[in-house]
Amino acid sequence: MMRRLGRSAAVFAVAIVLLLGISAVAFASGQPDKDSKAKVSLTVVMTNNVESFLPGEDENNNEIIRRLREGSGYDLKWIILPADQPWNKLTLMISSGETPDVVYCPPKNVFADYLHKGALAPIDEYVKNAPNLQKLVPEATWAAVTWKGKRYAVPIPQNQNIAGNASFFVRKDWFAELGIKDLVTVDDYYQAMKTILDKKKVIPLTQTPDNGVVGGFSGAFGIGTTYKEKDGGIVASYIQPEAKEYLQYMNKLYAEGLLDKEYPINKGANVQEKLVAGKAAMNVTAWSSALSINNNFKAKNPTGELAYIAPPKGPRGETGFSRYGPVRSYLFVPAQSKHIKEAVGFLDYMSRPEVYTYVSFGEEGKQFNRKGDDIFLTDAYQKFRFQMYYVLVDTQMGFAVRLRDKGFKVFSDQVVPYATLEPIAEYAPPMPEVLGVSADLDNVTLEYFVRFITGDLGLDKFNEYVTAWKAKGGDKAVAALDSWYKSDFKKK
Amino acid sequence: MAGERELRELRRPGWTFRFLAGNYDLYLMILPALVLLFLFNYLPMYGAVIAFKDYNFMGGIQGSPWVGFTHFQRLFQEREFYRILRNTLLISFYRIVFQFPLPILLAILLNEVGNMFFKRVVQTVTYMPHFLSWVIVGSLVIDLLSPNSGIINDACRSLGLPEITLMSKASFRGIVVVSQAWKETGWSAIIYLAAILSINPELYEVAIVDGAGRLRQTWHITLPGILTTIVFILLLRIGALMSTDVEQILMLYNPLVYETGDVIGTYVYRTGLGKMEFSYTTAIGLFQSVVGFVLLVGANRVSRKYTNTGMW
Repeated sequence: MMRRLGRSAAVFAVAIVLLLGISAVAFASGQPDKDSKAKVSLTVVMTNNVESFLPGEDENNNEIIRRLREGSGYDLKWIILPADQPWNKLTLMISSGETPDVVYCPPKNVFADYLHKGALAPIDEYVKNAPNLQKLVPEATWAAVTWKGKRYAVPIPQNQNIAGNASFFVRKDWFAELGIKDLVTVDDYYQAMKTILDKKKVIPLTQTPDNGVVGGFSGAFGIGTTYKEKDGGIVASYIQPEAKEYLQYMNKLYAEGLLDKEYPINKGANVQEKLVAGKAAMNVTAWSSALSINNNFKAKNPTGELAYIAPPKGPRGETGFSRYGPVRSYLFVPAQSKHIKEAVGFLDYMSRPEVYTYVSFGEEGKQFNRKGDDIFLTDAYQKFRFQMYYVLVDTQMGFAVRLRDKGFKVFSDQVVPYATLEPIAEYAPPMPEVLGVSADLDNVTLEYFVRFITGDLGLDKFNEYVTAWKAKGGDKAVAALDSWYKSDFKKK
Repeated sequence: MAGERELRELRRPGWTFRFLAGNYDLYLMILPALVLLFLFNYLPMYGAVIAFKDYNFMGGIQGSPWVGFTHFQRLFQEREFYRILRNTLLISFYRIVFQFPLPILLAILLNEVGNMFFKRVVQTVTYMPHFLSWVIVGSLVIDLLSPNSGIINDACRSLGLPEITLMSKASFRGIVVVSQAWKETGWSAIIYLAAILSINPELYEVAIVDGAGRLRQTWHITLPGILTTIVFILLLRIGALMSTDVEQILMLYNPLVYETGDVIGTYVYRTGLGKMEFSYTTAIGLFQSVVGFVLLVGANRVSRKYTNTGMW
């Protein structure tokens, strides 16, 4: 009897606790937004980056967003996507009805995906009334977002070509010690690497597999970009005979121990570690990684020296790295947004010079000072770093100042002269035949090229690769690009 | 005697209602869990229907058109399909053959250990790796097997044996199975240890009196005693044959070992990332689940027939 009572009491106690818990959650999430007035509410989705907010503040509560709300006249809500799988969150938002009004989207294939699924709103009629947007975006750049005669996003023009891309980051001190001088051709590089292996007993060149193609060497053999112009049309670089030459060269490097044995399994972190610890002599490094590598290196080797050298020339005198495409990022408005006109109006507001200057640098006299044409950041800017979350419109000046301020300029200046190859395909509109298969083609290329380079598969089987590449839709992609190139691009 | 009376009670008509009413408070207690299970596990199964549609999140599930078995056809016609299916099944099979007996062996051996302190230490040390994520254990394995600086290959070279690296197709499956065994054996042994402890010690005493040695005791008492547990876990493993530990393989694999190491999960991850092909990936998951279910039901039937125990 007593045991029975105890059991029932326990059950009711649990039930009451559960009910209380559920109602607490329901009431907490039901609180109305204190800020809401009669203003139009716009939700802006931004990608993640490393900067953090001031203590007690967040993306919807800080000096910048308050100013933007006042100045634009809209009740702005900022949402920052997670660093991991960001676009899954956006898809979830749109498909569950919480559609944002503006999305900042750097990757072209994500933009194309949403476009071809019918998720984007055409914005032509609103851009007509947006003078600042029209001033910001050159006519030619709109082509990248035009589909069937309508424009589906605001393309922010590329501003990062002033940083170059990458080049060979090498132990200059060892080069001096071994008497290795200016390396011009791929054969020079080969000889130099042999000398390093013989005399220094370290790994001459270490690389990550990336997408199967090592920049610098690829440029030397004429396959520096995925698609290129040839004989008046567009071809896919990696299935050309030049690609076989590249693979033969790389295979020779690997077989003779000049390319890191661990090339197929290297990850970014351990390649950097090998450079820093003095286990490797050379690596094709992007300007963005050079700063931290050099800092770590100097901490361990105060007397050593890491610097960039020019990439080699191939059998036909070709050389170089790819430039960035013409569009830095895509600002699109989801079709289900209830405020498309206001969203474009807001983008126009953000394109006003005084607004993007404020968002990029802060207030003149406070976070920055002008000297002639140039801008210099003050110490107060360090607390203002979260401004990156509000830079929808990034300019060349903004990028240049950040490069200098964060210490990257020392390295980007060294590689700028080598970024000479134009990525033609990036100028094309977002064609599904091209963008839908790009990941698949990259995967096939990675798989086969790594096997060719390590010798796991003989180069006589190159046709197997071509067949696999075509099976994934490679031919259709090239055909689409080729017809675009011949009809639209060459006219300009 | 009380048991008999209760049995007779149960057989009277209307016993279900009385049973429920008599224990209403217990049922109330599990009601929230049942509701959760229904809402989050059973109701969403409806979503699997997008495997037969061309799902576009703009139209929602209702608004997307039917495409029948198109996605399954596409899967079966993929250049890599035969490869990933074969690797998935083989790696799971190797896991069952190699990894399955190990925890049982460890549990039986540990059970025999007299020194409590040693027993506890061994138990703790062996089950600790279970809590490490594959990111950590994967890095350990990569480091150990590094062709340049790994200690395993240093040893191989000095002994004149061929190197074992993660770049070798032939060794990859072995490395995957062995490293998972190292990570999971200790943890799996816990279940068997618990099962062994529940065996009536009187049985052992009787056996000793009858003159049974340790080995005979193990064979005739311990193993039959934990047979239900063994069968249960074996059936679970067979049901999971089609889904492998993707995180582990993702950490360890590289293009050189796709031929033997690429499984369904890693293939989908690599090719599907960021492509928003919800219908296709759902179709693949559905395929894996259906095959797993069929295997589970079949294995359960076989087990019932030959050992009189099963999952249900």
